[in-house]
Amino acid sequence: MHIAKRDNLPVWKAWLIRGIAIIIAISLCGLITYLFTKMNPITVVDKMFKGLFGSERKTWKTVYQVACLLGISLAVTPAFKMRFWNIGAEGQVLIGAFAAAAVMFYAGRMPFFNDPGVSMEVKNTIIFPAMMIAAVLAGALWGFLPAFFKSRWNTNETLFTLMMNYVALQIVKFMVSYRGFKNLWSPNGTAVGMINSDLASAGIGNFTKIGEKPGTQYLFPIVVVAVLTVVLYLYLRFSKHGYEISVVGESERTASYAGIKVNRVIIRTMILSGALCGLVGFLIVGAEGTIAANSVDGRGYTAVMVSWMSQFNPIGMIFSSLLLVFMQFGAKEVPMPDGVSLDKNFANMLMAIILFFIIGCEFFINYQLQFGRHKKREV
Amino acid sequence: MEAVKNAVRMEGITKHFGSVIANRDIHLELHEGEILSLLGENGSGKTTLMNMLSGIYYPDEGQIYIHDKPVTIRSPKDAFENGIGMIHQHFKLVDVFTATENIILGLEDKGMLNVKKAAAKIREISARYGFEIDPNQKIYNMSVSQKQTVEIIKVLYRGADILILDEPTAVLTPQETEKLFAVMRNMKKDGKSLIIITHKLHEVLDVSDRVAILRKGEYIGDVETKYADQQSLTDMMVGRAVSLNIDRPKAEEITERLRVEHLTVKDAEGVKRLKDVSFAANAGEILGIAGIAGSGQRELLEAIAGLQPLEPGSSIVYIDPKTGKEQSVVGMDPLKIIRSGILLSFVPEDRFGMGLVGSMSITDNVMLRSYRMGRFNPFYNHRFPKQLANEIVNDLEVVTPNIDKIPLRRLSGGNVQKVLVGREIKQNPTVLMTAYAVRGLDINTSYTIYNLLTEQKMKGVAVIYVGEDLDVLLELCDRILVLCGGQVSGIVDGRNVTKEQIGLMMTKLGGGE
Repeated sequence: MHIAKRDNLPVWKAWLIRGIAIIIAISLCGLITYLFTKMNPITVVDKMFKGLFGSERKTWKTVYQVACLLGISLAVTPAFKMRFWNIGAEGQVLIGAFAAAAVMFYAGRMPFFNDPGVSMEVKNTIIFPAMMIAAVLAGALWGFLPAFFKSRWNTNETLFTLMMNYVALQIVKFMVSYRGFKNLWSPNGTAVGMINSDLASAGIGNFTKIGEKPGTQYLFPIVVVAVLTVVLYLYLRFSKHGYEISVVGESERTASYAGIKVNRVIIRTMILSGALCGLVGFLIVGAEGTIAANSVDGRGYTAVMVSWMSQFNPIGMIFSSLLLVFMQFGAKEVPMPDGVSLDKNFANMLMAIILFFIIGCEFFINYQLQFGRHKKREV
Repeated sequence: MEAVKNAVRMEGITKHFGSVIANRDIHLELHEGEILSLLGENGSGKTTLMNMLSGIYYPDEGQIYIHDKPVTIRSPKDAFENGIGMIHQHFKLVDVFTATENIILGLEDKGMLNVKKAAAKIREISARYGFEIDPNQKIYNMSVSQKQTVEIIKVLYRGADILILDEPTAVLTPQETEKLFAVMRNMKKDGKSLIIITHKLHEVLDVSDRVAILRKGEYIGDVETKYADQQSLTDMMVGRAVSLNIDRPKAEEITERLRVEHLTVKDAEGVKRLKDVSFAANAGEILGIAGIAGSGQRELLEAIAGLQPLEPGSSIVYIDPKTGKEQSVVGMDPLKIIRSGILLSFVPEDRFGMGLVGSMSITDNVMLRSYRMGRFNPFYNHRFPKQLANEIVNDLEVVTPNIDKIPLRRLSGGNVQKVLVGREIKQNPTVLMTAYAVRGLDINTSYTIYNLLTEQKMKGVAVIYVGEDLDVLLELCDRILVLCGGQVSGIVDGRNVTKEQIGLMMTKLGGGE
């Protein structure tokens, strides 16, 4: 038996292989679910579905979760397309969220925002752009630093971005849990990380009062991410910058040969990546009205997977983030006989199985196995 | 007549790579004590076939016989056990080791390592076949030809009696080639059987007893060298009659286009790769650059293209063909050169490492030169490069299923090179620099490229042609600059100089005896 590369597989065959892989993965997931929980897999899926899309509010929330993951995935994509191994999305989103929260917090101390004579809409038109700019700048800084060090001293971007995650995480942890700040963050001293509960409950600095119906606080982030998807698709596919990113990713020497300033492209792209992460951080703070060390909750890493799974295609990322969100959040909605629900760890396990098959099937798309084709001719 | 004994017999060998058939049903014989030339255009499957003999690939079908015994060769180790040794194009030596250490590396002898005994054996082998080598010299101090010698001895030391040399002369000067051939003849006298892969027909005629010809993965036939000549071999190789003459008209107007003075370039380690190089490239001339591989050709072209930092005192001046205005190129990066209106085209030596992007389509690769069009438009124009890509595909007969989907890497080397050369010529340059422009191209396409270069010359372009085949340099170029160790060994008139003179200049500054 040996392995041979194939390079002329028709597109429909490739999708057939992918389809088969997903079917096998889902069957295996069902089997495992049954073995562990003794529940009918169909019931489980049904419960997951109902838990996520059972009511208008639940649907909004689920779509919002998809939007968050999708937003971060879009943000990391330019960097990965450039072969810049940016695993710092977690920190870039968090520091963006932190900056947005800080603006919200300081606004709460300004008399203007506490003046009942000024309407909420006016206050929000001032505070939202301020929060957004702060978040974008903070995220951009978190993206710029590793790119700058990489282009100047050729430091390893993987380690650098990873460490920047911890820096962001520790800053946020310190600010929300240090006793001296506890009162700062929440004047009542009750909810850690709940920012300016007085203002927040009035709908200032968050999206809760944007619409009338429940769940519409999620509308704003969803719309922003939807626009971002289209913009990034156009940017990567048809813009000069997008083209430069692809060339730099493939060969830096070819890029310099063609007159592309490699370092400038690296820094520019990472600032963009970081800024978009920061923007998502702002959306998270705005929608949830709070900041905590687990505000991003590993989505910065999941996003890397989403981006790669979709082969850097923003449209494909919509589906892969939907899949991952469905698995992760859906599991929480499944009650077990003993009263506790299936937890995230179980969902992660199922997700790993699905990913294993989705990524693994690419091997069969690129290679074929040949069994016993070697014929010895005896003469 | 005494019956010939076969050292190697390959029966019905077939090898696929994906859907590509590299070798189809090949029958090849190597007689004992002969030198066989394996001839074929690039991509005809010579190296693949030999790799199956030396255990790097395993055939899909077919049987190999060594000294008339059927054998299975699954690894290079199996090959060695059958007395087969291959000398690859790219050497596999440890730089910081001595010749002896490299030669005994990987041998599984029991007991203590006896370097002295090994060195003695190496001296004995050298004396027998006429090698010149110091067993205690470190590899990094060696010339290319010496490294090759080490590779050959390594194979002999392991007791090989069937030797395969994959394009051994590509990196050698004519004088070194002569020495190698003398050694090969000595080995033949000693009863060894040799296969040599080479493109150079005169070498085939010079050294071999028999020539076997492959074309597009198939075995075409063999011919005894004494009944063959260059024309007949070429016709067999290409499959039809080919004209082997390069036209060399003289341009009416020859004016200075590029003046290089005191050019010095250091690499990242601070070693001088070019020392005080001065020359002029003229419009209406092809300036050939000859030299042993690695004598500074790459650095020279990259320096002009703005890709190498220059040492102080270096000067590169571009003379505008319209205005006659002189403009210094020193300190400019490629973007600045483009923006200053200097129409410089450059076919670099490393196609995918520098000139092209392997994962992109032909159109996207053509766009590399033109995507900036429309300075204030954030989006690129896709129609223009598409049109240009179509022109290149038609003009140069590039074989490809489409121009905007298939990644360039999937095309054959010759087609890739055509895209690169085509793109650079289509820029309407005033200076055209090419490094090994015909490397990997079949004879027919090579001549197409020579004609294109000549056409450019006649249009008033200053063409710089870095080449490795001295015969072509002598036929194509108006003047030839010979580099030796990063210095100009001499600039000679291409019309009245001999290959031997250039060969001497390549190895010794000024070419003195």
